[in-house]
Amino acid sequence: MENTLILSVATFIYGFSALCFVIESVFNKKKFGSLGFFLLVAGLSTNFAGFLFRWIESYQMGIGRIPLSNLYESLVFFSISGALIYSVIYKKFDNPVIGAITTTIVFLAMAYAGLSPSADSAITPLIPALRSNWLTVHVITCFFGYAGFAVSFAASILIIFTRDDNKWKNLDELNYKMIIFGFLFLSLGIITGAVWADSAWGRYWSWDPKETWSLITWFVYAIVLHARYMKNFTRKTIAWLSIVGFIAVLFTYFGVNFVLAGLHSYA
Amino acid sequence: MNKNKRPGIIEIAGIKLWDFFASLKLTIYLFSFIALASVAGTFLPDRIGMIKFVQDKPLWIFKFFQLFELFDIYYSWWFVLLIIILGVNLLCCSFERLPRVFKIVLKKPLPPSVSKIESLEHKREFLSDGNMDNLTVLAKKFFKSKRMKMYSFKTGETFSCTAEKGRFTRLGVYVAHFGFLLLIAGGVAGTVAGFSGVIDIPEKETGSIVTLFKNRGKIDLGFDVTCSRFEIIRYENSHTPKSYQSEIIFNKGRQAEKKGLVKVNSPLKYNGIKFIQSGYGRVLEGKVKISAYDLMTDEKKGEYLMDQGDKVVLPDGKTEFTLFSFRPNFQISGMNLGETFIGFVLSEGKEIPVALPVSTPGFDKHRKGDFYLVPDDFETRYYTSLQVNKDPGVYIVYSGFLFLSLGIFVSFFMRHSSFYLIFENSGSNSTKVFCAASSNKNKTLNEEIVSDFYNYLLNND
Repeated sequence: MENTLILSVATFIYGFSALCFVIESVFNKKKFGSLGFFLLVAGLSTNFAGFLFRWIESYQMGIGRIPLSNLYESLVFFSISGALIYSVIYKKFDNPVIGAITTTIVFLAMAYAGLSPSADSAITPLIPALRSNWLTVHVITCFFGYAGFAVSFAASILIIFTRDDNKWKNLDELNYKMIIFGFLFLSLGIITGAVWADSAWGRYWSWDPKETWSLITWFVYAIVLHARYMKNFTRKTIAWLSIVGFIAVLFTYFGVNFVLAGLHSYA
Repeated sequence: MNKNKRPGIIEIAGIKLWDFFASLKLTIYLFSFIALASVAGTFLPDRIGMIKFVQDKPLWIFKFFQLFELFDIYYSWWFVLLIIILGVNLLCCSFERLPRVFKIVLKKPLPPSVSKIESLEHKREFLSDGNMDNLTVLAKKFFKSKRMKMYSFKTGETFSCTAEKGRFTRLGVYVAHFGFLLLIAGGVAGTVAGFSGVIDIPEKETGSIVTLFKNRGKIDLGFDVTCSRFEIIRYENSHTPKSYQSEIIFNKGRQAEKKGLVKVNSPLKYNGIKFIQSGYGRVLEGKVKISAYDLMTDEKKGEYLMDQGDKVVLPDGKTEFTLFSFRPNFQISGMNLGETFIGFVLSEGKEIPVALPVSTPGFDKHRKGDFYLVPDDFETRYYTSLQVNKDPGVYIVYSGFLFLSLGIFVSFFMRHSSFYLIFENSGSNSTKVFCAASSNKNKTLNEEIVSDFYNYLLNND
């Protein structure tokens, strides 16, 4: 299986990229930041190549489907989304700490995909209920949303732990932008999921744990977006709320699969 | 005196009530409550797990759970109430703020004054050596390239204009809120006027009774549903199902009214009711031939043609065997035996359960009776399991989806931006330029457009 090999290479590149950003953050060495960014783009390209290879391999096996349907594949795609988003915003919001946190999350996702026994890397045929074009749209929108929230999580951590508010430029703007980006895509993810559920299971909403947790996440970020208009919500409170939001994201993604059972138990 | 005072109290109460429902604070509280209740709902047992949960607990816990419908939080009276209050809150907030927004949206921009421009954050003042008419032409070109609409005003020695775009994007947030209201309305409509259940129909048979998911009640569809054919499509060289489908005929009375295929991920609609392929199984067709073999010699000692529920006496003349039923997927201590006949033997007053899996003929030897039984010859037929849904709120919900996503996009990713400009004639071939930009969000872009404009005039002089 060449795709898993390529994807493990991507994992290592991400790891080195994260290391570079950490060195930049701690020792304030700009050169390492540039190297980190270069490695991030290299990791992203490798990651994407692995994704495409996996897609092609599934056709060679006679299964023929886009690799977006189990824990392993979703982690791989999550890493693509996260690395892509940070690469796009890098120029405007170059911030070593956020780079370090984001690439670490991306690296951990890939490492978890490669090492965890619950993330099986074998390409298996799709069960009938997943054979739908909605799968692609649903997974892509959800994971773009999650990736946006991951970057906002990094920004929020920085907002909470920096004493000097003027040290980082545009930090609040970055946090807000990533939240609205994530919120739009999470909304689209929930909506496409609902439309798909309506056609596959006959009901657009059945309060299964995954659905419910995605809605909880949506509500937390809705609070963040509305709290901006309230006087007594400081930027740190909002940053804390956005961290709660990301915990909800993680629970929607992992917690539901391992703790609660539901219609999504295969993903 | 009282008569004069009373309306005052009511008025005050009215204002307070209105303020309560039109406050953003309430929204945030409601969001939090709904989110927390939803969290609880995913951890508390549902109706199926309820019995096990309350077994070893005091009665008051059960009563408490029942009062607040904690086994079914999402349909409980207080959860629905929270959502309805959220809807009212949203409506009040919109009515409170919409008039102001409409005023901005519907009003044509006025000419800017120098003092207005000077009061803005992103501004620039400079002298240009172009004449006013040329500069006006340039400004027009500039705004056209930025796709901004220009409102110009000329008074003698000065030219002033306001250019803007995206004024209507200010309504985006209300579009999103309207979408959210539609979701609530559609959800309520579906719960009140719809139903959801399942109907199992064996191949070549007809049914019309649906078992509801809620409370396992039954309802008659009022028309017949016939499954004329059921088919499983498998992946090449594999037993894994790729898809499955049922050919369905709907008829009222004798006349077939609609024929169609129900596939996984591709439901069929009839009479406003949706039929979804949700599962399948096998039922026994006719009788099964069960043979009794001697445990020691493996010799066939008897043969019985049985229906489910039949009872026969085995060759020793005293042991009785009763056939219970046919199970397409029989599970025993975590192991799936596949197609299995189950029943029991009655020997010397003792009932012993019997499982006869089709794939392992010698399985019954483990019982260690004088004879072991083997199902020899039988036929099965598929039944299709169709989920049946009626939800009159679904179109309201779908339009809600549309408004919500459009509204979120417009309100977060589009902006109302204005550009204010004044040219003042200041002697021979020299014009004083005052300009500034403002917007309702993404204010860093304002600085950009101001310097863009400055460079544009400079380079095209």
